[in-house]
Formats: sequence, C-alpha cells, structure tokens
Amino acid sequence: MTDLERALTDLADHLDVPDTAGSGDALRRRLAAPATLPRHGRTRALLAAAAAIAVVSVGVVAVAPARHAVAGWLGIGAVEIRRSVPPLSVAPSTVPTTATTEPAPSLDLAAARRLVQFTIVTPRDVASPARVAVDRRVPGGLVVLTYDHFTLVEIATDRSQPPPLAKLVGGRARVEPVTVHGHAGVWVPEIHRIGYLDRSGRLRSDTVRRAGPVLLWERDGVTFRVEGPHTLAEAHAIADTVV
Amino acid sequence: MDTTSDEELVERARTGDVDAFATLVDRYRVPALRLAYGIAGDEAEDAVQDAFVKAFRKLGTFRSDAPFRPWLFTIVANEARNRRRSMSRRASLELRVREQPPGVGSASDAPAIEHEQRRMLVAAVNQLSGHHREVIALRFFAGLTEDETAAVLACPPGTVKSRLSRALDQLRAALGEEVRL
Repeated sequence: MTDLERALTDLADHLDVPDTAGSGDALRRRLAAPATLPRHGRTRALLAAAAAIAVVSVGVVAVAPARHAVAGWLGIGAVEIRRSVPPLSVAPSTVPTTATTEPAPSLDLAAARRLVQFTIVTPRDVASPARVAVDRRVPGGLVVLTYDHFTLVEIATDRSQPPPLAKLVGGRARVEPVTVHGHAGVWVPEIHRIGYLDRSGRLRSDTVRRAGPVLLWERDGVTFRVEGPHTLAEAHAIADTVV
Repeated sequence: MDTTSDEELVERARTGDVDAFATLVDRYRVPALRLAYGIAGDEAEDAVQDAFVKAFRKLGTFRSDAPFRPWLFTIVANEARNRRRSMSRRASLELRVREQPPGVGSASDAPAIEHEQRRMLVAAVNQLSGHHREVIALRFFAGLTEDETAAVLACPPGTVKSRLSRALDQLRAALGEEVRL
C-alpha cells in the first residue's frame, strides 16, 4: 500500500459523514415494519381495534372516510401527524418509483414563484436561499427553501382536501401544540419520518424520509415547516422572521 | 461483538429474523455510510437507510452461495447514485473532513498538520470524476477488496485496477508537491 493509499484509508475515519443519532434505531423500526400493509378496509378495522395508531389532524374539514375511523386527529394544514407505536407501518407504493421526496433541481426564487399557487415568503434578515426546489405533486405546490442552518418548506394548503403529507412519530413522542404569529402550530422535537399520502390516505413508502425536529404552522392557506433548529426557541426565532 | 458469520445471519434474516439483519446492519452501517457519502455526499444517510431496507426486502433474491458484502454494497452504491443523479447543486456532493475539536491542548502541531493534509486530500477527491471518486470510495472509504469492488461495479478486476490507478494518479497530480503522499 502506498502512502497515498494509506492516507485515503485514514481519511475514511475522518470524513464528516452524516450520521444522525437515533437513525440506526429508525432503520430497525423500518425493517420491522411489514412489507405490505393490509388493504384499506382491513387497515381501518385493525387501527380501530388495536388502537395501535392514532392519526390526528386539525384544520381539515373534509377528510378521507378511513380517517373518521380513527379517534383523535392532530396535524397542521397540509401535514397530518400520525402517531404510532413501533413498528411504523408503511404502505408499499403503487406509484412509479420516480415519485420520491428526492430534491428537484434548484430554481431561482422568481421561477419558483411562477410554479406555485401561493405567495412564497422568505425569512427576513438572511441571505437568499442556497437552494430552491418546487414539488408540484402537492396541489398548489410545495417549495423547499434551503438555508445554511435551516430549511423552510411552504406548502399550499386546501382545507377542503385531505392533507397530502404525513409525519410519523413514535407512540410516546412529544408533539407540542404551539402558536406562531397567533396561528396554530405544532413542534415535533424528535426525529421522525415524513412522506406523501396517496388519495386514500395511505403513506407512499417510496417517499418516506427521515426528518429532524420541526416547527409547523399554517397561515392563510399555506403550511410552513421549519427544519434544522434543535430547540423550539431557535425554531421560533426563525418563524418570527417569516412574515 | 457478534461473531456470527454473514452467511448464517443472512439465512436467519431470510426467514424474517429482523434481529439477524439488524446485526448485519450494525456490522456494515459505517462502511455503507462512507461509501454512500463518497458517492452522494450529504444524501448518504437517507441513501443508506433506503438501501438497507431494500436489501432486507430483496433477501429472497440473494444467492446464498454468493458473498454478502458485494451484494449489499451494490445496493448501497445504486441508492447513492440515484440520489446523486437527482441532486443539482455541487455543494451538497462535496466531501468534508470532520472538524477537529478546538483546544485539544496537544503539545505538538502534528494534529493540525494531519488535519490540514486530510483537508487537502478531500479537496483533491472532490475534484475527481464520479467514476473515479466511486472507485476510491469503494476501495478506501468502505474498505472493499479489489475483487469486491469489481463485483459492485460489475466489471473485471483489471478495470478496477486501471480505474483506481488513474484516480490515484489524478490525486497525486492535484496534491502536487505540497503534500508528499
């Protein structure tokens, strides 16, 4: 082995490889999840009978029939929060595998503004986002603004429709109701998962990704999501600049 | 540390034994993260999570007489490549060296110099083409043998040798005279 080869082997031990605390456990939970979820009707019966999963949503006027079967909703605007005891069950997707939460190409803000049906708000006092991506699978659009220390996601929110996104949190995970600019919100302080829902409210397994602590709130037909800060105070400080 | 062989764990995992597969995950998670980081930068963690889940689901297609490591790392590399393809900004692909904790109080400058050398080396790796970076990641970051690297890349071992040799030449050229490696 040459010196360069030795140096590369040594480098492997010093790379800044992302490895979030708890992601190994999250992976175990994913592995423990059944490969397939029972069919819709059975899911409903199972959920009601076992009371293993509580799906909660606030601010949703019309909800998919299956959701009525489950007591207690929590969520904000376009994002439903599903609380489950491990293992977290994820439906296999019936949509092509190209539909993922992988980031779309970066755009400039002006282009993003043309692509979504709401007014994109950028935080005061920070430089332009390092990355702007739009996802139009959400009716009305979803924009992801990536800054150095946080990510701001803005999602068009139609209260007459079921939420297009769900967060999956553990059965005992804290989900704190909060108020942001006088609007209802929630703080999810723990690592959890987020994914897209299909029209029948099933989570599409190919879209599920891990997410860190998040502050969510809804205002005037837009759901805002701040990811990155580890404390509610930090998240609030960012949210205060999104006006 | 669990000394059960990969083969035995795979056989148990095939019957749905999640704990057996979790042992394999514990065994290969770090090299898998390093490989994925080499290919897809900041997307490494999600790529590895998805790769392990896929591997678990696909265990039925794994030939039990084949070595497990190259099979697993092929899935990790594929996931990481998919993520790299969907990324547009180079920044998030860029590899970094973990920062040294400040004020370690070392009596010599050696740690700082080593850190600086690693920083220069990683900068040189960042300049490599995707192919070259990948072969470096497989061989040195994930610690695969040349034969395993060839299996992951689905090419003859001779191709791995020549690709590796070109990658190392480019690194030497990029590092120039400043770092004698």
